[in-house]
Order: sequence, then C-alpha cells, then structure tokens
Amino acid sequence: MKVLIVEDERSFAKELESFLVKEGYQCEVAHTGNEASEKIFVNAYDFILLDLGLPDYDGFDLLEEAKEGGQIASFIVLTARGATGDKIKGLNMGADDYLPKPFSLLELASRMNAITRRKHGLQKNIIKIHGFEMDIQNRSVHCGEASVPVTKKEFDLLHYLALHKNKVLTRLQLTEHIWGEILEDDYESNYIDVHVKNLRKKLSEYGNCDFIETVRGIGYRISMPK
Amino acid sequence: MKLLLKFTLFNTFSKMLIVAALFLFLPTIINKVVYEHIDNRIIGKMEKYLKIIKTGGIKEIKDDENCSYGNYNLLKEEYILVCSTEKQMGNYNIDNGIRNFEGEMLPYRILNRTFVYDNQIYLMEIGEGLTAINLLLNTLKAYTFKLMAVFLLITLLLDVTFTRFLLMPLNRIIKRKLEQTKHPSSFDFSVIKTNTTDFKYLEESINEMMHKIQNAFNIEKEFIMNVSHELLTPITILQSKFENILADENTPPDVSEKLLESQKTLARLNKIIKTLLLISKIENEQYLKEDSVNIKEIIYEVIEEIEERLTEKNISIDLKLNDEFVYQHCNRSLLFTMFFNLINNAIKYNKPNGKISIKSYPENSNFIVEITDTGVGMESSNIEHIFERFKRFETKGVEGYGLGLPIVKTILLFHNIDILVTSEKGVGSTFRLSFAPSVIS
Repeated sequence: MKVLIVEDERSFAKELESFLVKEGYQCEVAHTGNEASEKIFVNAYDFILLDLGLPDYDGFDLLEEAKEGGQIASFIVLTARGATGDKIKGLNMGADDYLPKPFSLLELASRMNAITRRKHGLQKNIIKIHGFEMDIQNRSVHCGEASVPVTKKEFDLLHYLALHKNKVLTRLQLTEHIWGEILEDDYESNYIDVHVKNLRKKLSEYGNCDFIETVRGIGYRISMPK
Repeated sequence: MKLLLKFTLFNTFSKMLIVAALFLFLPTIINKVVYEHIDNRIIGKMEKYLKIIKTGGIKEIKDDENCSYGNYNLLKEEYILVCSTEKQMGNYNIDNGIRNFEGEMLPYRILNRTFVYDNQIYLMEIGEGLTAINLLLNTLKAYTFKLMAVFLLITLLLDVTFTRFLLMPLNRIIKRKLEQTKHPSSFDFSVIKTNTTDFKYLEESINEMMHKIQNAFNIEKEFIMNVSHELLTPITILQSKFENILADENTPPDVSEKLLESQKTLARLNKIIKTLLLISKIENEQYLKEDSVNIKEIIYEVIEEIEERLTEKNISIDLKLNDEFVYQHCNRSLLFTMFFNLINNAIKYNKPNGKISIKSYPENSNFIVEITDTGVGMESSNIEHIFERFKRFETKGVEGYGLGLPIVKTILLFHNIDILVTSEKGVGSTFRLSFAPSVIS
C-alpha cells in the first residue's frame, strides 16, 4: 500500500517513513505543500498523512484540493495545533482520522489498520488468541462457551496487545493508549502492571495465558504464530 | 450610590436649604419693608401736624383738656393723641403697641414725640393700625410656604428628568461596555450617541482599552498556539525516534531500558505542556459550554475509568448521589477531567484499605457535591496553596508534577463552581463543590 507523508519536519518524516516501511507500506515523502500538491495530482495513494502546519500551504487547502482532484487516498490529519475546531473541520472536509501530535507510532498503525479494514469491508469482529476469542463489537472475551469477566480497561489492553501481536509494547505506549485522553497528575504509574496482573489472573481461570509475555524492563507482548 | 441618586439628593438638599432660609428670613424682611413704609407715613403725618400746630395753634388738634383718643377714624385705622406731659423727650420714637379702643385691643405702630407749645410740654402720639397688615403678612406667609413646596417639587422633578436624560449615555456605556462583556471576544465597540464631551471621551478611552485587551488576548492565543506547535513538534520527533529504536530487534536490552527511561521523561514533559495548554485554553475560553451533564452519570463514568486504582489500594467507595442533578451549559470533557482528578487525588492520597465517600445533595437552592477521603490529609496552612501550579507538598509514596489541582481549579472557575476544601492531617480531606442554582435543572 502506498503512503504519502506530507510533513515539513524532515526528521519526523524520516521516522514515520522508517516505521511505516517496516509495517509493510511503500512510502513517499513531501516536505512542502507544493511538492505534496504535485505528487497528489500525479499519483494515487492509499494513505496521505497530512501535517496541517506546512510553511507554504494551508493543510486544509491541500486536503480540499486533493478531494476535488479525485484523490482516493484516506487522509489522516496530523497536527500539533490540537484545537477541537481543527479536528471537526478536518473530519468534515473528508479526512478519515485525526491524530494530535505527539502520538505513538503504534497508534498511527492501529488507525491505519482500522481504516483499511473499514474500506475493504473486512470488519473483523472476532480476534482469536490462543483459545480465547475477543468480540470487538460486544467488547467481550470468551473461552469456549464461558465468558471471561474483564473490565473496560482490561479489554482495551488485551485488544491493543493483540492488534500489535509479536511486538513488544512498552508500558508507556500502553498507558498512552489507555489513559492518553485524560490529563492527570500522574506519571511513572504502575497501573499497567496492575491491569496486566488482573488480566492474567482472570484469563488463567479459563485457560493458559502464557501468551501474554513480560519482556523484562520493557513491557509486554502477545506472541502468536503468523 | 448611583450618580443619579447623588444628584437628586444633592438637589433636594440644596433646594430645601434655600426654601428654609427664605421661610426663616422672608417674614422679617417683609416686616422691615412694611414698617419702614408705615414709619415714613407716620413721620410725614407728625411733621404735618406739627406744622398745623405751629400755624393754627394747638386747638386745631386738641379740642379738650383731657387725654382721650379723641381723634380717630371710624375704622380705628389711625389715631392722633396729644396731651400735656412733664418730661421732655429727645427725638421721636416709633414702636409697636396695643391700644384699647372701646374695649377692643388693637395692634398699632405708634410714634411718640414731645413738643413745647405755650411753655407747656405736650406728648403727641400718632398710631397707624396694624390689624390689616398683620392679616396680610400671615396670609403671605401661608402662601409662600405652599408656593415654595410646589416650586420645590416641580424643580426636583425637572432636575431628575434632566439628570436622567443627561446620564443616559453613561448608563449605556456601563451596560454595553462594562457589564455585558465578560470576555474579550464579546466586546461591543458600537458608538453610543451623546454630545457630552466627557462621555465621548470616556467611551473612546474604554473602546481604546478594549481594543488593547482584545489585542493582547489575541496575541496570547496566538502565542499558545505557537508554543504548542513549537514544543510539541520536537517531542513528536523524539518520541517517534525512541519508538523506532525500541522496536528494532537489534537494540541491546540495556540500551532499551535506558531509552525507556528517556521515553518516560519525554512523556512527562509532554504531559506538562499539554496540561499548561489545557489550562491556558480554558482561561482563554476556547472551550464551549453546550453540554448537559448528569453529575451522577459522569461520576460513575470516572469511577469506571479509575476502578483498578481503587482495587489496587483496596479502597472502598461510598456513593450517595442525587439522580436528578443535571448540570446545564457545561463542557462534558472538562467536567470529566475535573472529577477524574479529584477522585484520583482521593485515591492517591488515601491510605490502603481507606474509604472515599461522594455525596450530592441540594442545599439552600445550591447543589453540593462532596468528595471525602480517609487519606493523609494536610495542614490547614497548606490548603490555600494546593491549587497553585507546580506546588507540591511532601507526601510519601505519591508522585505528581503538581498540576492536577490547578487543572481542577481552572475548570471550576470556567464553570463558576465554588469549592471549599477542609482537611485534617492524618484524618482526611473533603472537597466540597457548590453549583449555583442557575445551572441546575
């Protein structure tokens, strides 16, 4: 799948590119609005990651231009402006998602996956993890016929780990995903460990939950055969 | 006191003073004028009679020997009396006196003077009746009083009306430019009609000031935007770099661990900036207040979000919440953040196996939400400082960067909710929020 990264911060564009390449995307980078405008006019992309704060172009204009020019790509707006107005404006103008900077690259990958699934009607509602089944629609976890009573946060945690299976997720990435929206006073909290502990306890009553691995000093990982 | 009231009071007072002075001194002045007039007349008569005596002899006036009031007219308005006397007076004197005429006691203006005729000293007394004049004076007094009262009333009414008319532009300036504008974005620059130069100057000055404030406000908004962009962009770059290195399987574990520490520091920096931005944005009223929130529901939502923290410390929570308490015209996400931080604090500063109780109830038409914990509490001298930014008090085992309660405070202010904090060291704290009746339904 082809991705156009429109980002004037070269250093950040580079990081995005190297991450997305690893995720299996083909990437092109535009550092200015004009460059982007040209590329959008000539090529067809699956994704356009659009930074709103370009030096030579208003990001919204670029979005409008692309939509009018028949660009079929899904747009994800990336911005440090973080104003609610921008978010609503972006989504109204046909952007598929909106990520306020700074964001976790994993979060970006999840959003891109979700858009792809939505686009191709591949809404996978059941995720199978070593004998457990997660129902995304009902937000429930089953083991065979039995239902595992997980809390909202535990479900989110398991879901995020499963989405990024075989990858080590740091506590911070998990915290960001689960608590990121809320501004609070805490840092370096060990709540993620508590959540994982509780989750393991609940799952182990129904089956083997060794698939949730602790990676010492770093975080957690769900290993699944590819 | 309002200017109009001051003017009215002053006018009333000054007019009353003038009326009182007139009332006090007018009779004396009139008396003086009248008496002077009468006196002149009596003196004229005296001179006339003296001349008559000189030319025609005393018989012209005095027909008999005794001293009766022989010469008075029928209406007893004036009389002349001449009788012989022993003592000679210097000049004449004039005074008021009462004389008895056929059993009637009547007031007179009386002139006395002696003169010598045929080696005999005579006393001449000329009287001018005061009955009519006194009557007139009394009537005049009564009318003056009534007239003054009417005059006072009319002028006062005129004064009030005119002052009110004069002050109308000032009232408009106060209402439109000072009272109605709570926020720089809603300033009213419309011109108020007046030809009073003072008001014109006032209005111009206020407008100029409002422009300056609005300008400063816009600059601040812009500044916040720029700071947010300028600071968040490098954080974004660093964060993605860290993530990429951590995801690289070739990165040795000890490097990963160190990177993780750096990532945490970066996350902390990120959170501080985001919190400061949130506070600034609320203070700049960049949030809408268009939601209706059932306070019970939002507290339940927060508790669901925070449940594990309760179980981790084995803290029990006791809820006594009113179902009907719906907060109108508020910002839901801000209220959520506020209750989250308050309840999170109640957990953070609680003892293991402690208790939190949250109550909501109406009180004197206000609505109260009370969050009480059985935590470490604090010294009463610290209470007033807990809402200050970056203020931290030493509490064992609790970490934070001192922005939780400032967030709470800003959201409270934004929503006009009052807060009262009471605390006892070692026993616990109570955060008591009071919602004004106007926002409740």
